[in-house]
Amino acid sequence: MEMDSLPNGNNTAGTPISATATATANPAPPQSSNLPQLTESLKLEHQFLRVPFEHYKKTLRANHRAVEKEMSAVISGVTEAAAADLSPDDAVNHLNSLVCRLQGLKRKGFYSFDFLFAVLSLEEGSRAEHLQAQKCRVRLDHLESADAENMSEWNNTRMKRILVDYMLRMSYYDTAVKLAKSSNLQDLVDIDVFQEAKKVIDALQNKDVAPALAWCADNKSRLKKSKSKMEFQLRLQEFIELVRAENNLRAITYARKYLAPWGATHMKELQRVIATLAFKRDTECSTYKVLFEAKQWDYLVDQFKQEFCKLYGMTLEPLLNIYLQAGLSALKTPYCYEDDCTKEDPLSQEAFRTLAMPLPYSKQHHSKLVCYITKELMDTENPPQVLPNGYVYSTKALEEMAKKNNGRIICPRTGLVCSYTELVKAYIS
Amino acid sequence: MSLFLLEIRQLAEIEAMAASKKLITREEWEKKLSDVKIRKEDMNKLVMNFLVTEGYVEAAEKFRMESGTEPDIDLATITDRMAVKKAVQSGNVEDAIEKVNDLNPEILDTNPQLFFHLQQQRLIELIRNGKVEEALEFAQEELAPRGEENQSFLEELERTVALLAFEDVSNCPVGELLDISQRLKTASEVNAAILTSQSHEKDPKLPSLLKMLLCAQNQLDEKAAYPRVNDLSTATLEDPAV
Repeated sequence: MEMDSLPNGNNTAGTPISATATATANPAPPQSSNLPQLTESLKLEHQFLRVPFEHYKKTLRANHRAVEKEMSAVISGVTEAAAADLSPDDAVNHLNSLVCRLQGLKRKGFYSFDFLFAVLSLEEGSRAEHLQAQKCRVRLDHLESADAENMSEWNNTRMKRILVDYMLRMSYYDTAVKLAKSSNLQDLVDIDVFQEAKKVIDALQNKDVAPALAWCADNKSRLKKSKSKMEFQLRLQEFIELVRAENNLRAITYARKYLAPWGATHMKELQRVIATLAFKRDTECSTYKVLFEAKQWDYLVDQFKQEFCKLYGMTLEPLLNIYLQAGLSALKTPYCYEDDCTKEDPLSQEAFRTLAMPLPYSKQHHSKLVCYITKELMDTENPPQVLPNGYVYSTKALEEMAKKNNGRIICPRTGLVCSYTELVKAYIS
Repeated sequence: MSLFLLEIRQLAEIEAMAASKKLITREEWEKKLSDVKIRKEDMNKLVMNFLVTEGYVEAAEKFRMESGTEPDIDLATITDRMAVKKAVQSGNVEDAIEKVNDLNPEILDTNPQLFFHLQQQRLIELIRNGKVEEALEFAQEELAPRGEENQSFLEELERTVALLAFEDVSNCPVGELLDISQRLKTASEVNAAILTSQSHEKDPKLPSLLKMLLCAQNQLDEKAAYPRVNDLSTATLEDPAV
């Protein structure tokens, strides 16, 4: 089951996500025979699998780096000991300290160390890795479990997942946690991933760039690959804060260390920000005044959210928005904005109308006539009939009414009474 | 086959064109040139104009005495103008501004762009000499207010202040501001402004005449083959390629 990327998601991984995730967890059971009918629906589940998978890869990379660092330290320690002219006691002490170091690694869950055979073997088994592999597995199982019998329950779960996703993106973390717990969805939502983002967002809202810079450092290679400007923008903001505090010389030293390296690629923005040294914080020159405004921090928060979503392969907009927009654009017709639009139509409500305003109209090749009484479609099987006052209802509805009222028809909208024989059949072209 | 015929036809047309070009021999050309009379006074005026405009004051003085050609401006002002130019070229912008104001205070009052460029050059010199605090103060007091009034000044100011962010100027995208060529550019602008204020052309006439000669030759090349001046420094006539 290869996942197609969402319109505003970005499936950059070459391998089908589910296949890779399955390989890391237990082998998957045979696919459900109902899946072909669900394919369209499952196409929207790209980030559902992608996020835990990316998180898993990230943890693996971090663990691998930590292991390599420790290993090279131990190996160089052994090499030094071999080269040095140590007494037997000193040599034993030195080796013991290295053994302790490796056992410390083992306790962290990275390695097993067999001193007797002097074998160092790496174990991919840290707790975090295991939990994340498990999460990938659970999500695959959840997708597999979608079939016609439990569709309503499955859709209900999906609805809650979408709501949790929305809450997390809007920074309503506590609400998201409560909903996930009460619905037993912890493994199907990305609370842990968003907790990582929360720390950075909270710090940025408190005008502190340190956690964001640390996040950039952790993800340096991937951000570089996607040509991200996040770190540069954080550095610019830090420079602005130094100018605001009138620490001009510190600002220049900072610029030489952290901004100059970006000169080759981002000189225009760099020039503009450095010029604040000449204009100072209380400038009325609009070009620079805006750089000192508090909303620059809001831009940084938005920028971080975007970079964060890109990094984990999430859609840039909350899933709730995407689903709502898809649904509303499918329902939106010019008739929805008329006064006599039926109350059953979501677009008869002001809130939905506002949401649908920027969306295109649904592409309707043929008119669909729905009976006001039965709410059923009028077609050749159930043709429309016209009353003397011009109102149209389905044959089925009018026949039932005539049966109940001895051949009399009462127009539900105007109260007009007429005989069934007075009706005229209408034709749909 | 048709392509071959087309090429043959094109070659024939080129040959016909070459044949239709008038061929003027060296003999004919030299005769035509000898018929043109140029007055010695006009030549002397051109030379004097060149010496005055380019600022060779001593040579101009000697030439006046020897040829009797009077310069169209007071030679003393040339010395002042060259002193301004030299001051800018050696990075003494403050001194240059003072000298310009002594010469004619209206020059900088009526030319805000020139004044901004001189102030910009002064900022560049402060940065070059590592006087960071002084440079900042100068940018804040003198340049920022002018930058606010004019978008092009603002861009120049941004580029100049950006020099502060680079310790290693060789890696600086605006490092050319610290080149000597930037001083020469500013010096040339001041020189032109002083000449204009003295109702004198900014450029000497002699180079303009040489440009006209080259332009006329290029146009004549389309119509005739004739002995051409290819090297202006020797002014030798070269026979046309037949």
